[in-house]
Parts: sequence; C-alpha cells; structure tokens
Amino acid sequence: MNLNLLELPPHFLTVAILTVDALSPLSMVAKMPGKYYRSQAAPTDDMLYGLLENALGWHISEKDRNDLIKRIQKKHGKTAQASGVGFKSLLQFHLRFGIRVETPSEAVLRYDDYWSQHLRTGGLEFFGGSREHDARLIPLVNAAAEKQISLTDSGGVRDEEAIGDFRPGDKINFSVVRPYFPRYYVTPTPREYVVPATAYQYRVETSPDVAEMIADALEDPAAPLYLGSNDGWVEATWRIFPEAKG
Amino acid sequence: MTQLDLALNNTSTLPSAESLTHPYARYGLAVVLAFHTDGKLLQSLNEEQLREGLARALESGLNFFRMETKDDPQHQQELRFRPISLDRLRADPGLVSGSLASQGKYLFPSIVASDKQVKGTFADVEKVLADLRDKTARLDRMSDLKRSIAPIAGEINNGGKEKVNQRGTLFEAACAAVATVTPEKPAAQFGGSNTGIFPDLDMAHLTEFVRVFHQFQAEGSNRLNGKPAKNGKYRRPPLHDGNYPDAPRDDAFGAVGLLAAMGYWGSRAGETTRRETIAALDSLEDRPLYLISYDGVSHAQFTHHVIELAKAGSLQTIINDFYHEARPYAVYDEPYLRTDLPLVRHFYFATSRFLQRFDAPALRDFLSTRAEYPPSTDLLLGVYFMQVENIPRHIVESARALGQWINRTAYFVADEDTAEGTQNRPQAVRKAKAKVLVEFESAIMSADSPEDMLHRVSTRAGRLLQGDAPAEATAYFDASAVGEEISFRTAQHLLIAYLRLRTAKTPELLPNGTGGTPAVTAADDDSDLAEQETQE
Repeated sequence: MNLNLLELPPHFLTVAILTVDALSPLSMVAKMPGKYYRSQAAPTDDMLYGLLENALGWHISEKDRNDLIKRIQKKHGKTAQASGVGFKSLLQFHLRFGIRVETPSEAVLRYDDYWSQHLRTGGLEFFGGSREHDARLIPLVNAAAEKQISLTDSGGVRDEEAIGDFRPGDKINFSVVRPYFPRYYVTPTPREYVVPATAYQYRVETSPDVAEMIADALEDPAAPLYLGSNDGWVEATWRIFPEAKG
Repeated sequence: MTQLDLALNNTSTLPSAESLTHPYARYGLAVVLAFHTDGKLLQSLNEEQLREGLARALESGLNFFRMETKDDPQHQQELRFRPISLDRLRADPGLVSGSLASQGKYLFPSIVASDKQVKGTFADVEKVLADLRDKTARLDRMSDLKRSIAPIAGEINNGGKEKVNQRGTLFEAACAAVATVTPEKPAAQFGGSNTGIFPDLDMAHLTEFVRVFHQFQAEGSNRLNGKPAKNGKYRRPPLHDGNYPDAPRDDAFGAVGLLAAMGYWGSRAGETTRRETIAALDSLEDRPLYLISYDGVSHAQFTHHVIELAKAGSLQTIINDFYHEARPYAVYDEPYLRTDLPLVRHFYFATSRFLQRFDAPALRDFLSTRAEYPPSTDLLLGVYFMQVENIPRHIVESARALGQWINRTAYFVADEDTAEGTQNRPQAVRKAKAKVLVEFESAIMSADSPEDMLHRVSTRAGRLLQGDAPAEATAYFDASAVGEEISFRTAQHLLIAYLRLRTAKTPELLPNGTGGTPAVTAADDDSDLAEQETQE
C-alpha cells in the first residue's frame, strides 16, 4: 500500500477512461437510507472513489483515515469532501472526474426487492429478528415462542440465572438475554435496484503516477469491485491516454 | 460549490438544487419554488427569501393537517369537511393527535404520517419551522433526518453500536418536511395509510408538474364533501380516495389512476393547459413514481404507450369501466363486487402491473385470471398487440373478429338455453355464457400446436355455438398455422384476450337482477357482424 503518492502535489495532466460495467443489479443509495433505499441511476463521485480504493486495497479504519485526511489537507491546503455516510476518500485530491457517459435515468430498469438489513441495538427487536444466539438460550427461546414467558424492556426479572431457571408466566427483562446475541438481527427492507442499459464511462484526470497505480490495481484488484450495495458487482477497466493533455 | 459556480464568480453559499439527489426532498423544493418564492428561481434567491419560502410552504402544509365537519352524521345527508387552521391546532394539542377519527376529525391524506405518530410529525415540523425562522441556525447545519419528517429515512447502525438517525442539512430536512405535509402533491389513503405519489424528475420538469397538478387538483374541491356511513357514523370524504378529480376507487390503480385522471382532465381543458399537461405526462415516461407512506414505499413506472393513452383521455375510461364491470368468473355468485377477496386483489394487482410493465410476462399474469372485460379494454389490447408485440394490424383485427364472434354467440346460446322463468335469470345467463367461454379457453390453452388449436376451436364452434367461425377469422388462422408473424403462445393469448372482451352490443349482465335488453336478437346474427366491424 503505497500512500506516499498522496503527499506529492496534485496535478491532472494524465487522462484516462474508466469504464464500469455492471455484472448484477446495482443499488446505489446516496441519501436518506433507512426505511426504503432508493437508488441513483448512476454512481456518485464518492462511490467511484470508493471503487478505486477498493481495488487498491486501501481498507483503512476510520480513525486512521481521518488522521491521513488531516495530514493531506494540511499539505495541500484544501478541505476534504465527505459522502453522505461520512466516507472521505483519500484519492479525491489527486483524481477528478470529468466528462461522463452514463445511462440516463429513463433508460435504467428499476425494481424493488427485499434486502436483508442487518441492525444492532439494545432493544427488544433483537429477539424476534436474530437466529444467531448462544445455545444456552434455546430453552428460553422455545418457551417464549410458546408464549409461556415473555420478554420486556422495563421491569421484569433481572436475575442472570433466569436463563436456565424460569417458570411459566415469568416476565424477563431483555438485558438478561441480550449478551447472548453476539451479532446482528435481520429485517427485510425494501430496496430499489437498477439495471443500467449501458456501461458507465468516465474521463478521469490525474497524475501519471496515480494513473499507473490504478491501472495496476484494476488489473488485479485487491477485493471484488462493487458499486452501491456489496452485491452489486462490476467490471472496471482503465485505459490511459499518454498523449492527451488534461 | 460547483465548477460552474466558480466560473460565474458565484460565491453564494446557498445550497443548490443538485445537492438534493433524493426525489422526496426535491419534490419539497419544487413546491417551494412553484408557490412560495414569488416565482423567483433558486439561483436568484438570497438566504432569507429561501428560508421564508420554506417556512411558508410548511405553514401552508400544516394548515391542511386535519379536517373536521360541523354536520351531524346521524341527521344530515351530507358531511362537509373543512381544514382546521394551524392557529387552532397550536392552541389545542388535543386536535393534533388522539382518537379523533371517531369524531370525524380525519387527517388529510396528504400528510404522510400514521395516526399513531402524527403527534411527532407535527412537533418535528414545528421545530423545523422554528429553526428556519431562527437566524442563528445555519441552513447547512447537520440535523437528524427523523422518520416523522422524512418517512423514507430510518435508523441504521452504519458502523455504530446503536441504531441512529441519519443526518442531513437543515435545508434537506426542511425540503423533506415540506414534501411530507404539503397538500400540493397527489395523495390518497392506500390500504389505510396516507400515501403520497412523488415523481422522480429533474427540477425544471418537477416544478412544471407541481404547477399542472395544482390546476388539476383545483377542479376537485368538492371532494371534501362526503356522505355519512349507513350506521349514522362519520365517514371519510372522497378526498381520501385521491385528492384529485376522478381518482380511481381501488388502491391497486393508484399511480396509473393519477396519470389517467390527469390526462382526461388535460384533454378537455383549454389549449395552454392541454399542452402543459401533455408536457408533464411526457416527462413521466419511464421515470419512476414513488408511492411513499409511513408504512412502506413502492414505485411505479409507465411506458410511453400507456402515457399516450392517458394523454388522449382514453385511459381514464378504460380504468373506470374496468373497475365497474370486469369481474372474474369465479366470483360471479357474489351479489356485489368484493374487492377484499384474494382472487380479486390478485386480478387488480396483475392488471395494474400490466399497465405498468406492458410486456409479455405481465400480459400473461393479467390473462391468468378468467374474467370478462368491458368493451373499452379493446383499445388497450389493440395498442399492446400492435405496438408492443408488433403483430400486423390485419391479424389482430382478424383475431378480434373471431374472439368477438365467440363472445357474442356464447351470449346468445346462453340466453336461449336458459329458461324464461328462471330465478335471477340474468345471473344464470351470465354463468352459462362464462361456462361456454371457459371451455374455449381451456381448449386453446391445452392445444399442442397451432393446427391443434384451430381444430379444437372450430370443433367447439360447431358443437357449442352451432355455427362456423366467421370468414374474417381466416387471416388469424392462417398466420397462426404458418407461425412466422405470430408465435403460438402469442396466438393463444391473442384469441383468449379477445374472446373475453364483451362486445358493445351484448348487454352487461348485472348480478342483482337487472340487465339490459340486447340490441339485436339471435336472428339478426349474421348481418350484425358486418355492422359491428365498422362500429368497433
């Protein structure tokens, strides 16, 4: 992972064409997610930066990423743009997207489908939505399914032993049971998917070093490339025009 | 700031329309720009004007929050509803939420909220209003996008430990809040939830749509007047079926009903209005229409074929007649149309989806419920088979002639076979006719090849209808046998669709005992065929 390039001053003399071809329906959500995920017809710039960083393998944690962004901002004297979910791309200072050829909104096929939204909370929704729980909880879960006991958010039995030792008619506080659900609960959420009619093409302006780096990365990506949701796999190709001027 | 802004030396720090990528918030901004900024464009507004425009749009929406009636349902025949003013709502929180439906104080269908949490919507919209009028709250300040002002947003983890609301700028939240409460949007109560219909268009077209809809909606001001329920209780006025004129009565036709009604109105309006309506409907071609309610979101999309039918005003007749007349054979015993039966719901759902997708799989689902179609459906089928499936006109007309002959003759045979004094005679004739038609359909669908199908159709024509297929059917028979211009599957669908179509001359048989007299008797059969061709 060679990040030294980012310290160099940005210049945009090299032109390349990035072609992104969808291999499966894409769901590119930019704003207002939660209850219904509405997809854009074409990816936003932040999504494309994310695609390239994915190929480069720059999977950096949020804290480290923010530190790096601060350093780069100070070096180049510009402020970083963040996406709607707070993703700050490291490439944004050295690479910019120019002319784009995208499938217009009328030509994409749109449909709604259910998507397994994974959520985590301290509340009672966990119980109904998660099949992954500790095996020690099985008798209690069975009893709750038969409505012999009930779980509640407020009041109720708070004794930790209640997991093995409960009687019909008990009301057990959820905090007793919560530690035994290690992961997420799943809720089916409607999500909009688009099937673009053509590939997306972008004219990219960047420096020669960055262009080479990305060319190598897209030859052999560090991770599967996707746009929007991570089941929206795409094929991305990169062609550099050494003679064209930015 | 975009590159263009820099180039134009535009150092405005105001948010641009491009920052609103979600159609929900965009719709709110379009309403503000159409009605609350004195016609100025977004670029020429200063911050104070924009804030005031947003605030006024919110207040206007809150003035159409709840409705009430002073009429007594037990003693009066008409209930006239009027909106409760914002001042009264602010003075008396008991008017905002509570078990008010039993008192006839219904929520306007354009408020995208549920009865349970409408108190939260009111409070949060008031909060956004206060922030807009508060000079210290910047427009780009991040705030929570709660479901009370943006029902499509929700709480998600996004990497955090707990579910949290997603954030947006105050500008975005204000635009979304306007979309949630404004009456200037197509809305109805679908399945008990207040649902708004939001087209996904760019700002220019969206502002035009909002303006055209405003004029269209103004024609339906009497939809606030309703009738009490039979047991002397309050009942919602027709506004809840759709806050625009000629809204469809069934939820399944929600989005297409809007297009149809708008097109019908536009086709009968003055020249300028007609052109504006046509432009608005054209802009909706292949663009999604989001049906957003507090409980769920779905979307609809229409091809240009259906939009052409809407623009001509024909779609309204087709849907209206369909709702009033089309009945699955399986529910013929029911005395009145029961739209809650799963079979009927499936039928309407398939019809609605056919009108949206307008392709072969959707047609197959539409044809999967055996029913009789009203005569106006002829136009819809013609457009589909000739423009989408590209079947040559003469073949479609030949299939039509054959199908219509089968349908009419089945009626006459059923009429003859049913004894005069039978109890509930029209119903009995109807069922007998359906039986004949079903036999034809089964024969057609279970055929192995075009030749087999034609053989079966001819045999049954002779046996059940005591006649030969008309000469006009030859083109259809030949084309099906050859199989070049029309595939076997399409030939089957073509004939089935047309034999279900009630001809204009056979009477509609209503199950409650009434029924028109036929325009021709069985004796005039042959001569009538020629006459019918020119009329249809």
